[in-house]
Amino acid sequence: SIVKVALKQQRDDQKMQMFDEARRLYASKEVFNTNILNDEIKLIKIQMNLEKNYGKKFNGKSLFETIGELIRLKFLDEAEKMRKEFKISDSSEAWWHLKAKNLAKGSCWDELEKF
Amino acid sequence: MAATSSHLSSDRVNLLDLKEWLRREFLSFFEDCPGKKLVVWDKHLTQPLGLIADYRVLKERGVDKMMDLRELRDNRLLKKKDLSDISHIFFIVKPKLELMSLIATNVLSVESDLKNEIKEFHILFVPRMTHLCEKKLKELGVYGSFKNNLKEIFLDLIPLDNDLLSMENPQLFKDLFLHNDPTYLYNVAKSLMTMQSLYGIIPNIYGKGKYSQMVVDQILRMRREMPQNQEPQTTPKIDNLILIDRNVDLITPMMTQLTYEGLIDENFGIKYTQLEIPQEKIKKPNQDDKLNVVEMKKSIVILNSGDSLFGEIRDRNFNAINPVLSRTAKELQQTNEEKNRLQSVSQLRMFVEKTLKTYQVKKNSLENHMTIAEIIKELTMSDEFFEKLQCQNDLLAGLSGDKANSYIINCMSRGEDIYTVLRLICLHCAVNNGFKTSLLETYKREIIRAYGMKYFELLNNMEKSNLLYNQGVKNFDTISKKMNLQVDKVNEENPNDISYVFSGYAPLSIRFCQYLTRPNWKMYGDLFGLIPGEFFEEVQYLPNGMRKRRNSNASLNSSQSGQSLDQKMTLVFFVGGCTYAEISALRYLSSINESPTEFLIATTCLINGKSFIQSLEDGFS
Repeated sequence: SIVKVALKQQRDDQKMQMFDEARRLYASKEVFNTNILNDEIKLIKIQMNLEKNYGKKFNGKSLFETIGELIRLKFLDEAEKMRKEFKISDSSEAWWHLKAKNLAKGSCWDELEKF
Repeated sequence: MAATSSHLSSDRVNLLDLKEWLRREFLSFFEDCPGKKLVVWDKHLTQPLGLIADYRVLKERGVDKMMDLRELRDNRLLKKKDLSDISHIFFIVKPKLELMSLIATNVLSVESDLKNEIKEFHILFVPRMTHLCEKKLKELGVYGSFKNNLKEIFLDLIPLDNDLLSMENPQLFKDLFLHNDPTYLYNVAKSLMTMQSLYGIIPNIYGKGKYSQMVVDQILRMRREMPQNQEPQTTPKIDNLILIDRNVDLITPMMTQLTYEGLIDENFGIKYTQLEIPQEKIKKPNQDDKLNVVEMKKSIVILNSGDSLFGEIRDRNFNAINPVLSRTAKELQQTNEEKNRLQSVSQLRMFVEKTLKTYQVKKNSLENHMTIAEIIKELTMSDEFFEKLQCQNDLLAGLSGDKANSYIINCMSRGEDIYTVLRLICLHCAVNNGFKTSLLETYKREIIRAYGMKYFELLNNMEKSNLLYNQGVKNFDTISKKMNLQVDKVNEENPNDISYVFSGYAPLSIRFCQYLTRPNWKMYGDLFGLIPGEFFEEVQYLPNGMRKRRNSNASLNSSQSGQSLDQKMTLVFFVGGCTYAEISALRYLSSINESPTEFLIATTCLINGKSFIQSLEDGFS
């Protein structure tokens, strides 16, 4: 399938193009998959921007992995922005785990205590 | 593989006969070829054929050298120096076209290298030759080089132990349940024909699921097409055959196995009865504590009933292996003390001759299993492990219903192993008889968010093969109650029910076999109807003079005569894989006194939840 081909692309912009194509194919009948692909395209765009701004590679990481990495690197504002962008509730357990675990991993003890 | 030591060895159906037959067939290929031989292997076949005949035996038959076919490409083709005094070159391969090309390149290079010397080439196909391969060899211009030397050995079912056979084909579930491709069922049917030729026609056949039905249809047709005089002239040694499609029970493979062998497979993976323990998992020997001084010469341990200690603990619940281990340690200590009491030289010589060897073997085995058990113990003591089991129990009890299970969601945000998460989701789906669309979408979206798009295809494949599906008829609760799948009081040490293998859950697949082999099984007919997959029954008429003399009604009073001759023999065949826990449960059923039948087990491959889900991944092979 086209998603399979997309996943094999090395370059982010090409991957995104293929996902966009897949989204167009799904659009008429499969709402769920269209949404998944929308999210993925949004994620790659953000990852490309992050790479441009901070010189860190996020390529191929999942949403949670990306946010986790941002927290570990102490880019908490960026992480917060992504949380809102992807509508993860800040009272959800998922968010709590993600934040606590990665603050600890990044040794951000002050932040962890505040949190 | 020694049959002598197992508590399950049976004089009635000795699977070693099959092994012997395969061995004779295999060795006969070398026998008519005088001179030294070179064997070029398809490396996927060294392990299964190694179970039939080891290198020592091949050496006795004049096999001088062995090489890996896949390494013989490009500039590393067979060379003159490889071939000095070799007269026969055997290629032992699966019938794959790309291997034919490799063989052809090698044959052509040898022929142009050694114009004057004559070498004879052979191909041994496992499990059978195909027309496509023959055609390919013709196209490549080497067909003539083999003359009449294209042979096949029907190694469909590999005898792994004296009650266990496996085809070791992990791809079959995907072929059948994802791609709807039943081609390989031919091999399944053929393997059963081989079994019948060795152990007689199996009179009663039962089955559950459409692929099982297809296998049986093929067997019946093959038998009809067989010339009368080729019918096996053996009194039936196997009374019943039960075939089960794996998707009849998709709950069991998702549960964490709690038997010793099951836990070994879950944590390390067992391949062709071999366990390879990563060296870093083995603790450095502790000098002070004698029992902890473990030096595994190799990190490979052979797991079969030839190891009497393993034979005794493999099927036990992991919580109940300690008594056996410490008893064995005590026995060894006693032997040791005996040795110290010996006075005369002749006594000592007797000891060395009689006891020392078994002592050493037992000691090695004990050390190996204490090490393995220690590693597993550590894993099972963790909070995660405990919470996972708790979650399984909650799911089985139906506590999550149509809502997302919070423990599963937590696992995802914690970044737990994806297969642990997928197993729990599949379990939730199976016990709930499917998900509402919104719940399925929640789980799928969270998986992608936590683990990434790379699992998108796997999720799709899991849906297509019905590991995940939309709401169906809710009947798991009824099945569970009527078949007593969830058992409260489990005795792990001295089990009184198969549910000990999961500390309180009885595998549905095995409960089905248990009920089906009861004399009054017909009263469960309605119940069997509730379980997925069509139930069917066939009778095979036996050739004249091959009927059994023993009283067919005897099972009714077998409880009086104990394990009498009247106990039946049942072969259970899993189409699409089975777990070690299910095997243990069947062995338990065989072992109980009033059991109406003993069981033999055959499967297309051995699985655990992780390997099972992985087999659905793209590019899996």
